[in-house]
Amino acid sequence: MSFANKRPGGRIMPARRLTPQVDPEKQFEKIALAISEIYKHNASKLSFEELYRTAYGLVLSKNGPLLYEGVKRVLETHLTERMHQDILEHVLKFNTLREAAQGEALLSSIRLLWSEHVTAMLMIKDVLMYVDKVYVKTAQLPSIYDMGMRVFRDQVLLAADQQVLKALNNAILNQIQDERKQLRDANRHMLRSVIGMLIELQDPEYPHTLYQSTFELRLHAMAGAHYLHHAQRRIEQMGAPEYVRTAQADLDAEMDRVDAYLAPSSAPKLRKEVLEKLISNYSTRILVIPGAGLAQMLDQRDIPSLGVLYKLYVQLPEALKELRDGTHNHILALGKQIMASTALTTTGPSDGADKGNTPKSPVSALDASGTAAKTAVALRWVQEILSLYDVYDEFLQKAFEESQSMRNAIKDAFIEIINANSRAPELLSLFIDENLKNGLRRMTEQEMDHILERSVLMFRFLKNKDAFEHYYKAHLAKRLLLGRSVSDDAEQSVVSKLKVECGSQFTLKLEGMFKDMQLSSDLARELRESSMAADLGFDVNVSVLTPTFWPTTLSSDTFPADALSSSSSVILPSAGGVRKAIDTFSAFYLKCHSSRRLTWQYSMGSADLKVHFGTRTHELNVSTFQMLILMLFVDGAENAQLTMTDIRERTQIPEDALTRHLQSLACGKFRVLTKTPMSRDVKPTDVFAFNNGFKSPQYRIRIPVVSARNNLETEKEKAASLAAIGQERQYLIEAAVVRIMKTRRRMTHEQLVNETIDQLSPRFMAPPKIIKEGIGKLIDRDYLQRSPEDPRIYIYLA
Amino acid sequence: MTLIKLITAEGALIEVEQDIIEQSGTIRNILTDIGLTDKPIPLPNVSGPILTKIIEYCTHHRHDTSRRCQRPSQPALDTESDCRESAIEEAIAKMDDFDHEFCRIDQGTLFDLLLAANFLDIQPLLDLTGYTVANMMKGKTVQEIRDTFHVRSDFTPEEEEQVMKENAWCEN
Repeated sequence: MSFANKRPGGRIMPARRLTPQVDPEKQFEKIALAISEIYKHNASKLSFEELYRTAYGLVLSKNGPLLYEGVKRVLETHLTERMHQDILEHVLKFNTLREAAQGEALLSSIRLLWSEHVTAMLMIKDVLMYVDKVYVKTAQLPSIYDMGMRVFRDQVLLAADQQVLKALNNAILNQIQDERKQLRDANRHMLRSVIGMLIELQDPEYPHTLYQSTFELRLHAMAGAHYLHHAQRRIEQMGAPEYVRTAQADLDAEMDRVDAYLAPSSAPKLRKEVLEKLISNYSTRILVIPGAGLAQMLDQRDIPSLGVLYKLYVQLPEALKELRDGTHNHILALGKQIMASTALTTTGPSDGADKGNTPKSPVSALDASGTAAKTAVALRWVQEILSLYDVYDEFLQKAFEESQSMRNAIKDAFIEIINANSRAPELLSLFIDENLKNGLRRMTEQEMDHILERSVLMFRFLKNKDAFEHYYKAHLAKRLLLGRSVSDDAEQSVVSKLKVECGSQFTLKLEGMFKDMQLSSDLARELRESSMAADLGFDVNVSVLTPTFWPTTLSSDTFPADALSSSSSVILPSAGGVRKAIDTFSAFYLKCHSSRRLTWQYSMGSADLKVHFGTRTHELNVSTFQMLILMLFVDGAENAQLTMTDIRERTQIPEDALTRHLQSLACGKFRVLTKTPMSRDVKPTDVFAFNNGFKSPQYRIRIPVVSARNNLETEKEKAASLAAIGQERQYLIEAAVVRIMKTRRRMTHEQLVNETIDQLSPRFMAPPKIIKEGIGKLIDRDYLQRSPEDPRIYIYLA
Repeated sequence: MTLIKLITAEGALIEVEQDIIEQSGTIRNILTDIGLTDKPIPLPNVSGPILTKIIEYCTHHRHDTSRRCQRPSQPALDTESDCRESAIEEAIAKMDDFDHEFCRIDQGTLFDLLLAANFLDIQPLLDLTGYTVANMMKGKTVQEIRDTFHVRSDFTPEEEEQVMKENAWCEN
């Protein structure tokens, strides 16, 4: 022992002098004794410092190997002894009887030894810390603690052909299986400890833990077999909702098990076992269980079950695909059903009397062809599709977690069923028309907004949007001119929604129509305030229409195809100042817009007449034509008896319209004229007279003309519409072809056709045949030519 | 602050505050295992003066929290040398005037300190003293080192010649 030497260069003595020259064996004995005391739970009797110093001394004196090996031997001896004393008997009992009680006892004994060993090793490790720090590193040996672990593994678990380890694993798996079968609760606390041991100990041969190399695979295999068996049983007995619910419950139970006492690495593997055996193998069958499959879940709106189904299927790409397809196809089937139940055939209402159709509609009995009934039924088609869409939208939100792939599948199905109905564009327009005319009567503004929004959504699904535009313009024109629209705000909101969908090009004309109406009402006000209107005696309201915006062929039940010319040639009565009013307006208008030309249309106007029936007076609201007819009986001509032919000559009202108008005045609810003979149909020889004896409780009466409402087109009308749409399409196709060829210069036929279809698809589906015709025409007109080398290639001619 | 009782090799009792002496890994280890008792810890292989010097060192560095790190458990063998090298460089950079002054002592004390630092597992002090000794060796020939440290050669002349030949390449 040296004190601080003041001499410079004191002698260095080897470290040995710090500890007395003691026999290393004797030193080691101290350590060995200490270890056994530690195992006997007598650690408090020991001097930590002394042991530490002893170990330190041994390492410094180059006796590290002696110490290390010695400790190892001590541990081996101790553990082998304990194994034989405490563990082996339980192993034998368990292997013979395999009962849960023996399993429990075995696990308990192993666990006890293990936890004692861990505690002891922690202490030993601390005492021998210097060994770890210095000797172990240089000798490249496992640390003291690791060495202790290995000794435990080798002497206790793996000894004698791994008999303890095997029994241990069996006991654990038995408990797990019993828990899975719900026969018995597992002792989770115990399992956690024992499995923790397996996770900590390394396999001697592979870079795995004992858990991974000896336990895990059996764990998964057992789970797999269990679920395989149960799946077979359940699929026979349960409907889809129950099946998926139990599957989810099983999955939750396994994950719970992992959390409670298994290694996290087993979670994905167990999940896979459950999903594979319960779902993957039966993914198709589950959906088509008779009476309790996907179709039933959808129809019964079983959202909770659909949600569970989705959550399970979404984890398996193959299964999800089947769910998607199943839903898609079910929607298609429903679409067909709706088509069938709304009795929509491709023929639609006929032009003559319809046999076998009992109209129950509120429209008057004048509707001989049952058109209104058919219209109502057809509108139901739209309503049902929209309701169906709402249902599936709810599924998307609440059961399918807004999944993009499900959304697409549903959307595609709806697109298919909507476009399967060839009259879809017309029907949709009619539907919107109905709602804009009568909607607020039945529902709140919010509800109507929802319906309109959905309608625009349906519009987005339409393939032939140009057809829709055609019909919408026609219906809108009638609404505007007859003043039937119930809410201007709603009208505007629909147009703006359409604009968002298709761009302003699409809605240009519609907006033009609104503008015309606005200007017309301004004009009416100005006229009223001006001097020219002073001596008219009544109000004149004229709607001035810009031709380009308004449909050229309005529905023919108001006037036939050549209506434009014929309706303007009716004879206006000079009585009552009617003609004067028209002339005054013309003059007024042309004063401001001298370069324009006015063409008068009388077919859609209306008039308010004050009519005296004997002593009674009524105010009648009638159409312009009705007015013309009635005014033939004015002042002095009251007692006139006019035949239809007479009336025709004196008013020049076109034949079709005349018939209907006479019917409305003489055969309907309000018979202001008498007809001889009293029959429904009107013949040229029938005689009409003013009905002086007309009575009615109301003062103001509106006399409706047939089909004030929009209806489905008749065959004739449909043909006309198709022709008009077809014509417009031709122009668009040709324009598109020219546009494409101008930029590309050269293209093959297929390329050109495909490109054209693409460009026009936002508006309509262009049939390749029509495109071919269009190309032919362009070639004739020298816009394109065929390439001389290859007739399949076209060249643009500048 | 808790006071820890230590007994030197001569049997003297020295008290020191816990946070100062816990810079020693060994003491820390003992305290964790045995717990804080009033029982003094005997240190038969550390003399009083040396222990005093060590306490002096630890007191000065008591607030160097970066030094008070736990021993890493099982560092991977291959990266260990790299870690050690950079740790040494860091330690050298951190040596301040106190440290340099601390080491201006005679060789005997220096070596005693080194051994005590090793036993008590005070890495910074071990680095410091080791560094000091290394510096004493730097640039010296073999014989000069022998002279400095009073080390007797135990090579035979043939062995000595052998070693010289083997290491000739680094003599330049």
